[in-house]
Amino acid sequence: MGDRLTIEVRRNIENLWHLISFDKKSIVGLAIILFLILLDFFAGYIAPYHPEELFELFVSPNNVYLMGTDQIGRDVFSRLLHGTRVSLIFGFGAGMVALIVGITVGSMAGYYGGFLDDLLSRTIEMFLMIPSLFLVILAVALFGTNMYVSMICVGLTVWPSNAKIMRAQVLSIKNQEYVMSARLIGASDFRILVRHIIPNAIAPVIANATLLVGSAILTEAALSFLGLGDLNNPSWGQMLHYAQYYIGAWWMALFPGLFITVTIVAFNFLGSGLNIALNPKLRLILGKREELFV
Amino acid sequence: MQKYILKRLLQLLPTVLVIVIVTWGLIRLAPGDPALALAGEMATPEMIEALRITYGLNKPLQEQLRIYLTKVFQGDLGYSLTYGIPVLRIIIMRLPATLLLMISANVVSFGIGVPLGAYLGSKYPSKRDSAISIVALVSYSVPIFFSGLLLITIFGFYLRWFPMAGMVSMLIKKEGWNHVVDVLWHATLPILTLSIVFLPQYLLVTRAGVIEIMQKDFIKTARYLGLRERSIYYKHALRNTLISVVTLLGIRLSLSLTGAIMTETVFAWPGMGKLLYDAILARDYPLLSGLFLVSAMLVVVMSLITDIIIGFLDPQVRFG
Repeated sequence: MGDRLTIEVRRNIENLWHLISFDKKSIVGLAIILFLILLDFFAGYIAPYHPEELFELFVSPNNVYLMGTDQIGRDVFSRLLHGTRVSLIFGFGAGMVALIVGITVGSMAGYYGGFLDDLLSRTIEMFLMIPSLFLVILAVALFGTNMYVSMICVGLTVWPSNAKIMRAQVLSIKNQEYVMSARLIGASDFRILVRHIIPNAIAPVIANATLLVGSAILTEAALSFLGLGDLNNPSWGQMLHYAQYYIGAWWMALFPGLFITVTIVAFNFLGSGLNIALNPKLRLILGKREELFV
Repeated sequence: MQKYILKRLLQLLPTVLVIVIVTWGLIRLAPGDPALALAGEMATPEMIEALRITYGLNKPLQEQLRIYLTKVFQGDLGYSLTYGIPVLRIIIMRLPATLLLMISANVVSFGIGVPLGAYLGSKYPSKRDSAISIVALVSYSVPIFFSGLLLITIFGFYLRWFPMAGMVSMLIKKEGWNHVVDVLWHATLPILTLSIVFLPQYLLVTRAGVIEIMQKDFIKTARYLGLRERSIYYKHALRNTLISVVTLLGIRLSLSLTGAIMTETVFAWPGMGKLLYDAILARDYPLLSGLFLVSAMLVVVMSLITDIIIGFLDPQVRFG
């Protein structure tokens, strides 16, 4: 049993690597994402100063302060390193929520069909119409600036694209022989879905979810930029928020902005690379309306 | 065709209803007394009492919802807390500024992005194609508030070519043609900022569309029949790509308001996005929910228009 499991795991990893290495963009994207995770992990060791430590104000980048200091004299480089965590947690968290809701709704709609499918498909279309950033902003205005609340809000507004893809995938494989045979030997609907259908249908949904992680990170940065982010932790968007009041201190805007851009580029590269690998027609899945806004 | 339009309209009705109900729920969720929230700060106790009666806030919930629905369909969205005038009137006042930015940015992006995308698609696969599409993907990932700040810093602060904020010059009041030039001068940087994100979208969608169509059987057939490459390209491939481009255009325009939030905040542009931002800071709930309603309706209406245009372009959709 243990052997079978290791073989299965190894095969999955090989498949995954095959998908990623299909397009150079995904390798670059994945490398950047891993690098960011490492940065976050070792932020405390790499950062020359504590993120809240105060020095001279508005020092432009030099040997002592690699990326300068901000309006109250904190080291921009140290704050940037410590800000990685907010972006990553927000992005992956919102992506996870969207993945779980999208897979559940999409696979139910595709598998059961009939009235339930109609109902869920209508719901999906309705959610597609709700402007995501706007709803999150409203939620912040109503419930305050807690990062986790905003994160879940973003997840709960961007899942429809996952659900749509999942539904189409389930529709195309639910009548295949291995599903039929599982049904014939009396497996329950739940077991069929979880053991047989979802694992075989999930790849394009994950590719899409990767793009959603990028757009969630963008949403967090946008919220913080508007001054609606969580003030308890340093975040890149928040640094840009203060930078807009001190235009002459260009380093306060440039470095956080570059970090945000590179992060989003990484997720877009990985996501679109995976899409190309999964889609024989080489169609770029852009034009997902959730990620079109900012 | 009429049948198709009617069908789409009927499908949208429940969506509209849900949006209105959600908006109503948001007002109810807002902390404090909704009558107070609707009346604004200047209100006298008599006014609040009067509002309580007109909006039926002393009645049971389903009755309140019914009254709210009637009000909304009559165009009454309540009063703004900060401005003290009807929400709908403020929104209409601010609309032209936002439309100016959004329409110009879309025209610029469409005008450059679609031809360039079509050209790259026809050259696929090539070094030039992959290089430019990577540049497009990167440019598409740049957050608007970052590119906006950079442009302000470079062209506004250091070079002083363009103003750093606002829609008109503060000190000198200009009339007629000079006023138009002044507004356009102020609008250049915001439009450029938006185009940095919009243009790659049009480019990538057109490119992907052309690449996909060129692999299709009917293009191969046209080639075997000996049609010229140029005519295959313009008459068949481009026309079939138009559908996804129109969809994108519809999405872009329908998201105008949300897209405007960041740009208008960065450039202090007095449109609906800035209005929304100020409404959040002031916790102006009637205005916020009014803006939410209007922007959601915009999405609904634009998606209907897009569907109708696509119905004209693509018989499969119309009869499918």
